[in-house]
Amino acid sequence: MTEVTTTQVGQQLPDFEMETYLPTSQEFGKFSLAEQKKNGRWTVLVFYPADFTFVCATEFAALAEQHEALQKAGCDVLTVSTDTKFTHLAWQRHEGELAGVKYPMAADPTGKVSKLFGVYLADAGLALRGTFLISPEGKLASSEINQLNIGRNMEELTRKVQAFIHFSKLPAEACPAQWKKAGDKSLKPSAKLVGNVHQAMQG
Amino acid sequence: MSETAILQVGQQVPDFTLTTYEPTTKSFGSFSLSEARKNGKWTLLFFYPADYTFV
Repeated sequence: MTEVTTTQVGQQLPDFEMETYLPTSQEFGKFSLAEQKKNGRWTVLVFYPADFTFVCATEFAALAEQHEALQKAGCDVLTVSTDTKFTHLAWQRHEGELAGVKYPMAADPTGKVSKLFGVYLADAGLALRGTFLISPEGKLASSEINQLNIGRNMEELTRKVQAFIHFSKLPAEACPAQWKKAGDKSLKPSAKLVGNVHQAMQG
Repeated sequence: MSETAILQVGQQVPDFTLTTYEPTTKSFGSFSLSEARKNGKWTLLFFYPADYTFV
């Protein structure tokens, strides 16, 4: 067993920056975690192995469909691969599945950020399919990493992000399984609730 | 930032065993990864913080 070191969920991330391609203006830009913290924004990073490949294209289209809902919830979306911003530009302009993409595509050609999140495959120089949610305080709130052959469910990503943001404003409440939207039943942990969750969820 | 060492997706998991409670038979048992491998089964481990809590 070889091991990799990475940031654990709940821990503070160090500030980092990445160059981006911005499909909306067809220009280059920059992502900065320090900037996100200053603006009080949540961030979701969607790592994928490579531009111009196959599962990735379908994930980009699915993510594009969720982009507006994520933005509205208070979360900025960013895709990341070890390709350059130039390749991002070329792929976004050529691949029909990416026609609706409005989120910035970040470049991590050195693998520095991929390593920080534990998704860097050193032998291939590529990133695993990792999805990471970062709070406005710069803490890692959620982490999901899949093997390369399986695409992600971006509707579930939106649900999860909405749950995180909703419950971040309700410190006395907790989010039960299968929660879908504000107004659904939540849990208020207390001594009285111990062993009585079933009744609380039915009531 | 403190760091923890973990397995990366795609890597081999070392064999491990756990003792279990089996609700179907109301008895105790054990889980062994090498056993699961021998039987050609996929395994889903579902971690959670504590019994008698809420979420």
